[in-house]
Amino acid sequence: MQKPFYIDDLDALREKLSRAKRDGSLMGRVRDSVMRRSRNAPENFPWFTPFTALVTGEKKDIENAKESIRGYLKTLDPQTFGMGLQFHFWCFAFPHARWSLYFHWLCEMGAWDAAEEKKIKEELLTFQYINFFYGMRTKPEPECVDNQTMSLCFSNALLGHLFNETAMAKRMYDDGIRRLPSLIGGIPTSGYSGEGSTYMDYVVGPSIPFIVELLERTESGDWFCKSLPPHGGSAESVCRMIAREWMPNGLLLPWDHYGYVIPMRSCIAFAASRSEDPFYSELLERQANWSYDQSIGWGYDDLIWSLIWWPEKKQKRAKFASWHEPEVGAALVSEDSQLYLMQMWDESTPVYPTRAHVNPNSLILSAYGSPLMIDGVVDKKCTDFNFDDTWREVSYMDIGTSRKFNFGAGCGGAHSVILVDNWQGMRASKEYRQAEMIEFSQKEKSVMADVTPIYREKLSDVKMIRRRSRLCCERFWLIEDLAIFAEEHDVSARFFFRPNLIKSKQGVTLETNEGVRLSLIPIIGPDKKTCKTIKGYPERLDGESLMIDFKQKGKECRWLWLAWPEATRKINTDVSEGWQAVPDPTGKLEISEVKFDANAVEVPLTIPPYLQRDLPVVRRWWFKREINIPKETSWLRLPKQMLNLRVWLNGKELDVSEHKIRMNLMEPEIRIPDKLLGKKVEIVLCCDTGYSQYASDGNGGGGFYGKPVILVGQDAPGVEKAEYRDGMVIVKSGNQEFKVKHKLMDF
Amino acid sequence: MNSTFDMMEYCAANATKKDDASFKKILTCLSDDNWRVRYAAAIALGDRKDPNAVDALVQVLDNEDKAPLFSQPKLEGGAHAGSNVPFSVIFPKGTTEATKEAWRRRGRLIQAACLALGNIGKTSPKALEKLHRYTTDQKCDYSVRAASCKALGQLASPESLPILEKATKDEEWCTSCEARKAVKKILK
Repeated sequence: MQKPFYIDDLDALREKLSRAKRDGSLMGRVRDSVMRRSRNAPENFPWFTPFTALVTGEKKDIENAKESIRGYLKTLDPQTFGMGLQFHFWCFAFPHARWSLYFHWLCEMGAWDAAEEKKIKEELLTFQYINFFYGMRTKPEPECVDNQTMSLCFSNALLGHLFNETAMAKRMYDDGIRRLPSLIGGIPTSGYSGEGSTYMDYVVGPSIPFIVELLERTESGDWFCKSLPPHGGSAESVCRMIAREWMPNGLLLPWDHYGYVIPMRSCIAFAASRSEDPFYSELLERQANWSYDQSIGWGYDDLIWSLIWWPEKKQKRAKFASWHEPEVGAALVSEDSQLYLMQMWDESTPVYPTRAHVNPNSLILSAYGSPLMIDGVVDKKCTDFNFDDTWREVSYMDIGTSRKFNFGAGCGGAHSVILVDNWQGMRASKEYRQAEMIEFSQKEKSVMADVTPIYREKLSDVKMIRRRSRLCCERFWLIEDLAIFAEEHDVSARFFFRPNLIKSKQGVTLETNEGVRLSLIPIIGPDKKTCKTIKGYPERLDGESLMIDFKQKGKECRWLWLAWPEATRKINTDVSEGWQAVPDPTGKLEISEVKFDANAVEVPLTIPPYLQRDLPVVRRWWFKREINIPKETSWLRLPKQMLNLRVWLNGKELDVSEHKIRMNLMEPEIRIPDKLLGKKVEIVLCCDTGYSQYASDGNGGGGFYGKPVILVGQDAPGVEKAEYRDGMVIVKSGNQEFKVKHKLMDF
Repeated sequence: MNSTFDMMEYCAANATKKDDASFKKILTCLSDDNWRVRYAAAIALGDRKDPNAVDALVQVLDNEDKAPLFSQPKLEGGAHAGSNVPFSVIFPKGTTEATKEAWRRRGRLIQAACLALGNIGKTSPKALEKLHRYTTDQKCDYSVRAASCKALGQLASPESLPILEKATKDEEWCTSCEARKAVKKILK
C-alpha cells in the first residue's frame, strides 16, 4: 500500500473509524450507515464504494469500487453530446476530479492490472485536458471568482498533481494551482461568495477542504487561516460563513439564489478539525441531518469526506449565537436559539441579479423551529415576478436553442424590503457600494443598515432608507423602517411570509404548518395593506407564500413593527421507538398484504431501517406501531423526507397530500382526527426512501430523518396591546407586559 | 509514439522546448487526423510562442470553419454530472463519425488556436480577420468568443478596437469580461 492522496495515515483513519464503531458514537453510526449501503447495494451507492474499499481493503469492496469507476468511464463519451458538459463544464469537472482521485486510491492499493491502470489513467487525463482544461481557460483570470471557476481550477490542479508523471498533467497543474489561492482570496472577508446558501454549502464549502489540503501538500504552509489576495478572503472565513448559514430550524438561510436547503456536513467536519471554535462540532455532533444526502460539487460523497475530516476531539457544547458581517448581514439569536432573525444587505449583481439577489435589508425570521419568512426562486408555473423589464434571452446555455427567462425573482420586488413607487424590478445597473451597516450590538441584539444607494441610483431625491431590527426581552422583535425623500413617493413595506394567514385585528398574523404564529403589527405607521398568495414562490417549503404590502405615501415614511412569535403546540410524547418495519421490494404491496408479524424488525423511526441494520436497501418501507393519543387536540410529527408518505390510523387512510412538498424540508405535523383523541390508535405508515444516488426516484440516496412525537396544543394568547409612547414600546400578551425603550431612527 | 495519448503527451512534453525537430513534430501533430492531438499541439505551440506557427494555426482555423462544429441539435438522452449509470444518446439518422467528432470538439480546437495566437503575440492579417470574426460570432460557443477577445488583447492591434467594443456588450460574461480587458490593454 502506497499513500492514497488526502489520507495521510490510512491506518489512523481505519483506527478512528473502528474506535467510533466500537464506542457507538455518532461518527460510528454514520460510518456504519455508509458501509451498509455501500456493501449491500454498491450499484445504488457508487460514490461510497471507493471509500469502503479503502477502509476495509477487502477484495469484494475493491471490486465494487472498480466497477463504479468503470461505469463512470463508460458515461464520458455520451456525456460529450449533452449541453451540460458543453456549456456547464464545471459541473462535470468537480466530480471528474473525485472519480480520478478514487481511481488513484485504488492504484495505491494495487487494485488494477498494469494494462487497465494505464488505459484508465490515459482516459481520465485526456478527458480532463480536452474538457476541463479547456473549460478553465474559458474563465477570465483573475476576474472570475465563483464556484464554477473553483471547480475547474481545482480539478485541473488535482489531476495534475495525481498524475504528475505526465506532461499534460503538469501543464494542467501549473494553471490550476496558480489560480486556486486567488479564488479563495477573491471571496470577500465576510466569507460570503454572494452566490447564495446553496452554492456556498453545496459547492464552495465542500471544495474548501480539497483545495486547502491540496495547497498544503504541494505548496506547504497553513492555507486554512491565511488571508489571501486580492480581497483578503480565507478558507476559514468561508467555513465560518457556511456555519453561520445554519439556522436553528435545521435549514440553511434561504439567502439569494435557490432558497431553503438542508445543510451538508463535510465542510463543517473539516472546519471542526482545523478550528478551536466549538460551534463546528456542535453542528456536526448535534445539529446535522445524517440521513439526508445531496450532491456536493455534483457528486454524492459528502458523507465520505465528513467521515474523513471528522475530528475525534471532544469539544464543549456551543450554541447558536448572534453574528454580523458588515459587508453582508447580521443575525440576532435568542439565548435558547428559539428566536432567530437575519437581516441582509449583501451586494446584488448589477443588471442581471440571477445569483446575488436584490435584497436590501430583507429579513428572515424563524421561531420555535419553524421558518416564518421565505426567499428563493419561483417554480416554473409562477409568473408573479415576470416584470416587463426583467426578461432575458440567452443563447449560450443550451445546444441548438436559446433560453428565455425572467429574472424578476432576483429583484427587489421578490424580497421583504422597502419598495418605492412600486418598482418591483428594482436592481442596480452598475457596480457601486449598495449598502452599509450602521450599527450592530451583540449585547443589545440590535442591527441597523443603510441601503440608500441602491434606491438613489434610480430616484435621485432619496435621502435615506434604513432598517433597524432588535430582538427584545428574548421574546419578540422590533423592526423599524425609515424612508426619507425630497419629494413625495409611494412607499411599500413588503414582506413574504409562509402560509397561512389567520384573522387578526391589527397588522397580519400567520400560522405555519408547524403551528407557529407570527403577528406583525405596525405600532407606528399605517396599517393599510394588501395581501396576495403567491403560488409557486418559493418553489420549495410550502410551494407558496403570502406577499403582504403595507403602504404609505409621503416625504418621510416610517414604520415601527412588532413581530410577535408564538408556539401553539408542545411535545406530549416521544413515539420514535418500537416501530415494526417491513420492506416492500416491489413497491406494490397493499396494506392488507403487509405482514407485520414476528419476522418484522423493530426499529426507531428516525432514519431508514437499512441505515441502522443490515437490511435490504429497498425503496419502499412499511411501519406500524400503536400509540396512545391524548384526549386533547393532537398532532403526529413525523421525520422529514418520508417520500410519497401514506398514513393509516386504525385502518383508515388519511389524506396527507398537503404535506408532500413541505416535508422535503420540514417534519410534517399531521392532525389526529378528533374521534381518535383519547384512544389507543394503530398507526401504519408507508413511504419511499432514498435508496439510490442516481435512480430517478432515488432521492440522491438520502433517507428520512427526524423524531416522531405526539404534539398537543398550548396557550397562545396573542398580542392584546402594542403601542409606542414616550420613547417606550409597550407590549401586553396574556399576563405578561413588556416595556422596551426605543429611540426612533432620525435623519 | 502511436497512440493519441502518446502524441498529446509529446506535444505537452515539448511545449517549452526550442529545438526545430520537436517544433516540426508538433506542427505535424497540428494536422493529425485526431482532433485531440491537434488540440494538444495548438496548446503546445501557444506555449512555445514561436511566430513560425502562426500560419499553421490559421490553417487550423480555416479547417475548423469548414467543420460542422456547432450544428448539433438537441439530442435525446443524458445523465447527471458525475453519474456512473450507463446511458446512450440518440443521433439523427445518417450522422457520420466525422460529424460526431465535430460535435465532440465544438470550439475546443478554435479556442486553443486563438489562445495560441494571442500567446505568440505576432499575427497576420488573416489571423486578425479570423479573430475579429469569432469575437462577435454568436454561432460560436462563448469559449471561442472569449478566447478570441483575450487573444486580441494580447495582440493589441488598434484595428481590433471597434469589434472588441462591440464584444464588451456580449450577453455572456466571460466574453464581455475578456473584451473589456482587451480594450483596456489596447488603449494603454
